[in-house]
Amino acid sequence: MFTELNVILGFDHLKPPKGQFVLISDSLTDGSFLIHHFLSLYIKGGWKVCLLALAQSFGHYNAVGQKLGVPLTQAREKGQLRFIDGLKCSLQMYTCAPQEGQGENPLRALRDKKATLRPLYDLVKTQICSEEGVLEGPTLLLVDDLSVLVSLGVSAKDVSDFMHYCRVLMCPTQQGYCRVLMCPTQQSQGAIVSLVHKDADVEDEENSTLFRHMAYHGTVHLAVEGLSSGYSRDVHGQSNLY
Amino acid sequence: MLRGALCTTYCPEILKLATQSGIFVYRQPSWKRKYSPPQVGDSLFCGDNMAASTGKGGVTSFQKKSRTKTLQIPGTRPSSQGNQLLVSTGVPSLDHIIGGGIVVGTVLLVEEDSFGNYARLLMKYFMAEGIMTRHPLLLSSAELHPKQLLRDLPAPVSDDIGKAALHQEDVSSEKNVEKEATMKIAWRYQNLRTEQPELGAFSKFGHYYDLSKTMSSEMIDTAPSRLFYLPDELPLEEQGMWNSIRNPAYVKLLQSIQDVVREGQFDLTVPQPKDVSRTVLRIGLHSLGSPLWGEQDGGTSHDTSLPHFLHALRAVLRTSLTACLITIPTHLFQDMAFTRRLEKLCDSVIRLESFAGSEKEQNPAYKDYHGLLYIKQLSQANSLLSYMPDCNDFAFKLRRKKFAVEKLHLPPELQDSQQREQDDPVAALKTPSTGCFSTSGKSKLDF
Repeated sequence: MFTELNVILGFDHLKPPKGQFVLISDSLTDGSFLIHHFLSLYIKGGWKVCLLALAQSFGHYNAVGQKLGVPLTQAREKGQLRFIDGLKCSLQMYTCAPQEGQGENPLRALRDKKATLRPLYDLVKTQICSEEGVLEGPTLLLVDDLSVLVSLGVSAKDVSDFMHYCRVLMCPTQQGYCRVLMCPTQQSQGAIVSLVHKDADVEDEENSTLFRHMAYHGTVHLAVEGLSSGYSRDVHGQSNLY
Repeated sequence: MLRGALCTTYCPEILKLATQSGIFVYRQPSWKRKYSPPQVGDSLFCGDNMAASTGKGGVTSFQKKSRTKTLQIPGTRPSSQGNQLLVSTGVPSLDHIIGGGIVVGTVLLVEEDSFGNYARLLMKYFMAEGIMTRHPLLLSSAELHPKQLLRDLPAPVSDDIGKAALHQEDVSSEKNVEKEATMKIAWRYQNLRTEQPELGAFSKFGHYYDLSKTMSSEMIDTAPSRLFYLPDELPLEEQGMWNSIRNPAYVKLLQSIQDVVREGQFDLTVPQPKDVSRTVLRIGLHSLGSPLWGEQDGGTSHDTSLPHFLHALRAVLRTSLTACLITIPTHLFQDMAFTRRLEKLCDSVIRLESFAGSEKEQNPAYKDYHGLLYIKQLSQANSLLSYMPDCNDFAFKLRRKKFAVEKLHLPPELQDSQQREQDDPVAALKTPSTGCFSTSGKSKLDF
């Protein structure tokens, strides 16, 4: 979609790079358009994509995907797209009685303060890995967005642990290797894109902790910011690349 | 059904005429219409691929093929961007600045002003619009009984609209009788509607209301509504005693929302029997998150029951035909970050800031208005980008009969303020209609 952005990042739109951990942060504006960008980029590139959708429903991604020329329903039927419906899990977790039905729910950490996000990790793993526990071909894990977990009461440390495990699963190269763009090694088959809200005008301790941890893991950091000069109709904000 | 029968008898005639004279045959919408289920109160059905654009008064039969199936529900309209259904908030000027209305399936959060008066007014408008468009209502409140809220809804401005709703069926049957006489020569105009206004009753989008009168109780009773009054639903002794993570009041509220959605067949995941026409459920949650709901600590200790409720509510809304208006007294929360999290979990957010009791009340720049309205975020559902308003400076004012939102304009010649201030009381005395309470407290020279 955004060809300039691909050029700047050095991402080939036909062959998206492997081993990347792309962190998107937004401040005073909404950065979810980049989620759609990467979703369409990697689907068009023929990757398998696992979309962990905590913020929106499948209908939303599908409607946007259609406008961008990426039919997600077909991709889902073909098995190219694996969709984890976080909204539904959250609703189940909210309405079920305390005893029943908690065993399977990947988000049981929302109810039980002692539980961690391990079931969610297990679910992601079963969705994208073969039985031996390795990735089948190039796979992208897309998380939209991590701040929802923090809002729902999961501690930043748990979220950070979860993402650390995911990173080890998806891009098991060393940090130093990853930092060089366009340098996929043999092992790393995956990539991660995730979104964190980091508003500059309020002090949200948990979110900024989470952001710092993610920035540490990340290989590419895209910061979307509202204009400091105020609202404008035609220019929605600026984005920085770190 | 009647129209369907009519067109089967009529179609061969079109063909015959066409072959004789060799003219081009248009595809009339009626070819498809006979397969479509009849719509109550609406002679046009947009569910076909052939959008019935003739209804807009256009004469041409060439039509743009609409890409997606859109539901045609009274009181809704598709958004300008495309595949979204909007319902009106009841305040046309507010609809305009938030991109046409509330997108069905999303939440509009109103952050209350410090006394909550204007937010309550918006809630009343939202409910009144629901009654006028025959949408079922769900209203919850913890302080004021929802019945009381419903009792003083603003009355719709023109009475003939209300009457038209009652006489709807008579008119439409008369119209069908008229239509029996088929046109022989100008057959192309056969399927045009004869007149528009009879639709106006409840398929119209957005009505005008008069705040000085209240809606009649018969009218209110026509709307199916479910009222949720917290002390009735959950006895007080159970409210305070929660030690789990979830606040039982919110759980109860969500359960009753789910029940209404299920029973009223608003759920889009469940296939619908053909003979029932769809409609939109309007949910109004008044003063959610106030201390009466059990938010004791003002959000300081990151109580997660309200965010979790909103997240679960979003899951319910996205799969059903519902539009939701929530007012939250966010000024009671000490932690700004908590407010921000709530905002991120709602779709559209506006904040009201009333001048009452603040310094701005005295400010000559604001003397025409009663408060400011900030658009914090707008719904992004089903699109990459939310609607972008032209500017972000809005103010609202409350007249004797209506509430309106306007672009904020500064009065001219503000710089020579000393002279102006002397003039002001005189001007206010000359035109008493503008002397609302916000300006009257301003000078000692008054009386």
